[in-house]
Amino acid sequence: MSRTTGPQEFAAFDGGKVEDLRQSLETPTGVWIDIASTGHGAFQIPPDADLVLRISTAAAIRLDVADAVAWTVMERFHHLQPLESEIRCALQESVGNAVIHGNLALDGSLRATLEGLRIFSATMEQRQSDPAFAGLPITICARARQDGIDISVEDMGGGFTPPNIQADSIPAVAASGHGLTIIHRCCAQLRFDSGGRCIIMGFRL
Amino acid sequence: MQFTTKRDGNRIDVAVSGRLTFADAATFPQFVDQVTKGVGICDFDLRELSFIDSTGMSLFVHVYDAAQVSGLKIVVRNATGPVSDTLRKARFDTLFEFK
Repeated sequence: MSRTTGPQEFAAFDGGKVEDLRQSLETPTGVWIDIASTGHGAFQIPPDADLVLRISTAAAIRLDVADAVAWTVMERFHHLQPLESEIRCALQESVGNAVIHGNLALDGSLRATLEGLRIFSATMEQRQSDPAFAGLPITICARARQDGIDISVEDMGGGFTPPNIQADSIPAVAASGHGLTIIHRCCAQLRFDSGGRCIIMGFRL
Repeated sequence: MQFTTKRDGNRIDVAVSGRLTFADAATFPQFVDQVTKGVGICDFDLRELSFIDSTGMSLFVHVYDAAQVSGLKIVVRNATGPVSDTLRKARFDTLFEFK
């Protein structure tokens, strides 16, 4: 495992202006902070993380965060290449959950019906334009190991009580609830912290 | 996600491209209305769809629900790579005719 930079070197970027997040993450640092996200005063850089990305909700909707983080992890830690698709897939689902159910505080159960979906979508549109929601950060931390990597995704929402979902519990096709099952399938280990606001995924070679 | 539609009588052809993810969720009702109303056959071409996540899959569930109400026939064609894998793992091939 190669560590090219220390986690305390950081770079700022404007998530409201960036067009290609991969390019922004090319800077040789360990921590990237979207200045368009809020609450930096209370943010402490995790001391043991190899990569940290703190990005606003608006930017997480507009940009392909999962692709950029997975790509950066592969660039930094070549021995993790066999895990790339699992990392990319789990990140996509966990960032989606952090945005929708976390920071935008949208009720996924509304999507059970088309009429509910209309309310869900209208509320999403309104909140993603509201600076009070759109600026809330999502923080992704990665800690590489010889035998894999641990990646956490944390939002600023109200948290939740994680259901008991198993990797093999493939639900019948449904409008929601599939994301955690997909994440479970991609990971060797999965746990939640901070009252459900932080998902910690362990990927192993 | 981007999509284009082409109506021909009772049929609509819908070409979906890009990435279909949670980021598109605010547009789902408009999509469902546009592709399911006033037609009898809806043909999705997913050749240019490069990625779909679980929220994206929920869009097709809503299309399915709308089809159940109206009697609309749905065909999904040209799903390849990770999109095909994801849809089949989630058993969408039991809901729609895949070509």
